[in-house]
Amino acid sequence: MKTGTINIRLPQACRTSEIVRATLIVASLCLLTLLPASTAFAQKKYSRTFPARKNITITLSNRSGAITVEGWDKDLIKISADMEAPAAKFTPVIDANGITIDVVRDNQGRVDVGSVNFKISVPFDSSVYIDTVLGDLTVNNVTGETVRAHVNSEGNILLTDIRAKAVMAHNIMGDIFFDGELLSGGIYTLQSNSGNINIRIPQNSSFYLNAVAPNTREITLGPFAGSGLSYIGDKRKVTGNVGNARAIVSIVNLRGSISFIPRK
Amino acid sequence: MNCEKCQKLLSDFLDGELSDEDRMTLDAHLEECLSCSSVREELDSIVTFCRDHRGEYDAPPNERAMWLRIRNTIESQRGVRGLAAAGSSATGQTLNWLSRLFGRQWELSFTQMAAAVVAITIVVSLATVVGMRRFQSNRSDELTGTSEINRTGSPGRSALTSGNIDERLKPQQQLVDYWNKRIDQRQAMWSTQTREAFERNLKVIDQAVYAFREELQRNPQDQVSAEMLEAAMSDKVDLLSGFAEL
Repeated sequence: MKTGTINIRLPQACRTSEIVRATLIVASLCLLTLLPASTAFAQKKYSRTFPARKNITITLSNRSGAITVEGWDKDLIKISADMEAPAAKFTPVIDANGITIDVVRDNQGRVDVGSVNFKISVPFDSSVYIDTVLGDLTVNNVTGETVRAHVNSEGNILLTDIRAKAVMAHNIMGDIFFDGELLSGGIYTLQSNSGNINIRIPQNSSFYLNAVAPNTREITLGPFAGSGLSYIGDKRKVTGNVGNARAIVSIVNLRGSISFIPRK
Repeated sequence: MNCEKCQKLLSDFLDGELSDEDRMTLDAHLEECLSCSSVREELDSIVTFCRDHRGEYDAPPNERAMWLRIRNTIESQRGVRGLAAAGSSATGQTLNWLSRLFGRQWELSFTQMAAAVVAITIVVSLATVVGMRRFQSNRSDELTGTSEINRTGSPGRSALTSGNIDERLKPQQQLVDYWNKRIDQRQAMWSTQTREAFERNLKVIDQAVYAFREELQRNPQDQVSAEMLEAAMSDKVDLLSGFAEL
């Protein structure tokens, strides 16, 4: 009796379909693997508009990311945010005083949260209180009672076209630029640990000045220098009156320079 | 009617000055209440005795001395009552003492009054002189920058030694310690970017703190460095508290 192997040969068309099927399975697996990764890198967007009355206050506390607040001639607050993954959660709270967004509180306890970059438009006469642990802050064209910009660590602070009675800007690392008017009875406090502080104000501004730059001793007063000011502590500190001292300007820069620029 | 009201009305009752309605109410109460009834009898006997013997007694020879004796007797009886109540609480004793002090009628002769005025004047004058001297001494210390920082509590006016720099920064250092503990708990949850930013900024602040401390060691009277050291410490607290919330 003759024994032998049996060779089964699949038809050519059948083999081709097997290859296609295998390729499809591999491709599907790749797609499934990459899909969450692509979602992770995608940015989420948020945009909402709220009605606002006059003289409202906007308060925003962010973890990390840039915040830009612009004044506009509408009785509306528009909040736009780009959220990097893992996206932060936040819920704006509206009350009689205005609107509050607290990204820090709303995401407490989460292991990792991506940066949120805010762009906010508010009525001109709003008060602005913005805080971030890390990131740049910009406020433009605001004439409310108070403008407060605070960075717990590093980030530039840019305050332009500001006409407020109380202005406070504070960071650790980063530049601070204030461009606005000093109102009578106003208090303007700018403080940085490591960065340059520039203040651009009308040439006829009158104020009491307390400026300290202990490390660089670079306090450039430009046209605001005058007999009413005196240098203290080996030129590390300048104090005294410029004009009639209608406002108070206090600037402390531990390791950077301070410059006054006249606005014509 | 209660006993208190009854005993208030007794005198008028004995003088016949009560209204019919009051008298009837009082009669009803006296019939029921033995205590008030006996008070009425005592008062009645005093009034009757006085009426019967009107004009028989002269005024005492030294009326003022007699009133003083009466007062002394009352005071001594109060003292006895006070001793009897010695077991009561300290608060009660204080109240008794105060009520006796304020309840007492002070009667001073002209000489006593004058002596008191002179004594008060001398005490006030002495206090004013001592106060003025201390004030002038403080001012001169401030001008020369030699007052002790612990006494004035204001920065830079005085010599800062290593010991009192630490003492002065103690409240801020306590806050730093508190937030550092919170940071230790939270740090594991931070992203690499957050951790790097924190360390970068902390390093900058610590460099500033170190530099101003060194400057103060060299020149303990450097007011600017004292202010800046406080500002740097305040920045540190700010940084730690911000990151501890993440």
